[in-house]
Amino acid sequence: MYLGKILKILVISIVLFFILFPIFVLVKYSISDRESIITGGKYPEPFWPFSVDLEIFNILFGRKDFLLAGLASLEIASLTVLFCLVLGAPTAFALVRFKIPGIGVILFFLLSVRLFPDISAVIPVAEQLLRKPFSHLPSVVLVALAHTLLALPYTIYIAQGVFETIPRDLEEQAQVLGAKRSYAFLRILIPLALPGLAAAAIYTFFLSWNEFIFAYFLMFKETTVSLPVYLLRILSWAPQKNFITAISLMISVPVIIFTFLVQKYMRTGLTAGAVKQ
Amino acid sequence: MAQAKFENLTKKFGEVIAVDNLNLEIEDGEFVTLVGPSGCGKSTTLRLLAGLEKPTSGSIYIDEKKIDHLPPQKRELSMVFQSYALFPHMSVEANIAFGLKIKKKSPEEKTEKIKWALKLLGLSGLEKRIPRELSGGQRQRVALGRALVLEPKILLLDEPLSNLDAKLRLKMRTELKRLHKRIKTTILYVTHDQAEAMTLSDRLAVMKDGMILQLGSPQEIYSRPADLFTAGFIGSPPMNFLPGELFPFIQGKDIIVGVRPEDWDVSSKELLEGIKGNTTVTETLGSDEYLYIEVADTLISVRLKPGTEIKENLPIWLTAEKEKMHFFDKNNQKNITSEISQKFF
Repeated sequence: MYLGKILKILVISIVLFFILFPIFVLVKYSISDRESIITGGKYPEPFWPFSVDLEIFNILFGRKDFLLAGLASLEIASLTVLFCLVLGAPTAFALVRFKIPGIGVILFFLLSVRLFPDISAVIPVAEQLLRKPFSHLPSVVLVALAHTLLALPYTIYIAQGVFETIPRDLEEQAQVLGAKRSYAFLRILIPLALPGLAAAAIYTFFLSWNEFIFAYFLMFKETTVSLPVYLLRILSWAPQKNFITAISLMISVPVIIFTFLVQKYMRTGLTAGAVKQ
Repeated sequence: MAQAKFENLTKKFGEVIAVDNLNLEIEDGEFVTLVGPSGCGKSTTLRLLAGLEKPTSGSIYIDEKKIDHLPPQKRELSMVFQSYALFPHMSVEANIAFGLKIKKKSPEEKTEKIKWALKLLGLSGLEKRIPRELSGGQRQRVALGRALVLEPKILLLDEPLSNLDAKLRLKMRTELKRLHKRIKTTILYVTHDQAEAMTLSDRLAVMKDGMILQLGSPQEIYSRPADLFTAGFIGSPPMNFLPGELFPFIQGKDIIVGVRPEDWDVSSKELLEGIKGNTTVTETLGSDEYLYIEVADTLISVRLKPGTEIKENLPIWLTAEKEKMHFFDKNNQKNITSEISQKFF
């Protein structure tokens, strides 16, 4: 009993260490003063910086290319979420409510892009998207389309689970009360599916925000690129540690903020009280 | 307010026949109940009328107009689901206003209607609550209010009381009956509970295997059940059945004799014409007392006159007046009481 408790704490500690250590490194370097990073071999790097220095963020936010990259990433991720929900939610609904012949084949093709490693999928996808008519679109839209390709199967999968939990009675009730199918979908199903769809949105946002390979192949010629691609560009200059970690940290922050924003929709039990089981 | 007519209505789900060539007319302002065991097609019939299912063949008319092709939202009916199907993200007020909003009623009319429904159903003060915060009975009334404010041609109720606890169910049953007396809407009601069907309906249709076995007033059905199933289904405790054979006039015709628990006479003295049995247990319901008597392998229920004292495990003799007996043909299960009484009594 006592031993089991110790073991449990030990395992949790190890797991936590592996999760938190990279974050610690990011935070540590990004707030370090020059002295703590470049020791010149006089002493080993300190565990914690000698003095906290936030100057690097000043520099970072003073850089237009960084801000534009952040904006591009935000646009791409938001567009991907939008595309995925607009396409995925009705698809999932149709899958749940109607019997569609050949649905297995359709689903298979939807998933097929994920059957290969990204590195083999990226060439045909980029090839298509960089050609007419797509090539006229802004590069952020192209990347968002590629990300939609990656995230849509998951969106559909999650949304399908969500719609399955919403009793059919509610929809039929709306119809009997005079609502058209589309009205019932927008006013009854979507509000009730929102918590679940928010989960899908978070997933999609994460995926797009982190995605590197597709963004790289579609944007490498552009001046403004998404943050992961930007990070690579900066790395190629061999910058100081605090600069690169500050960028990394800034990539993480919006994800955390976004998660908190949509978290309130994640509460369960919204459908409680609708129908008595 | 309207009348409805089902004409040779059939609904199949694959190979399963849910509704089998059903014919029924519901009069304006009438309260008609479809009653039967689960799977008898009563809910499907209701859903066919609502437009939630498409008939395989046959037609449905409302006020002489064929409505087969109309989607649910154009039929001007309202339905209360067994689950109540309240919209969980909307307040009581918004739930009730849902249909009115779609019909683009003016704000004044909406407010007035909502107020009327809240008052009618005793929900005033709960406008802002969401379904989660309501009790079962309140939810049920909100569902009813939401259906009523639309002034439907016909109100469809699908087992609306079955999710309530026993006490509340009785209360709401009375409420529902009073409500119908006041608003006089045509109601088609579906239930598996024969007591609900008996107490509420102007007429009830006993259904089994997608067919209506008997249609009539509660009293008619209780006193002259058309067949063995109806006889056993309507009434609680159910009618007692004893197998028998007709003689001496028609040899070999197997029949079943049915007697309701309240129609027996019991005697602890040996009676030549009586059926001998052994007393087992008695059940007291306060006003009524039921005695169960073992005759051969069957248990016969008998309603005792209050104050009769009977000990367990004693021989007892059962008799019933012949006018109180029901006779059924064992082969086709039809009620043949009138033929028998013409021939023999």
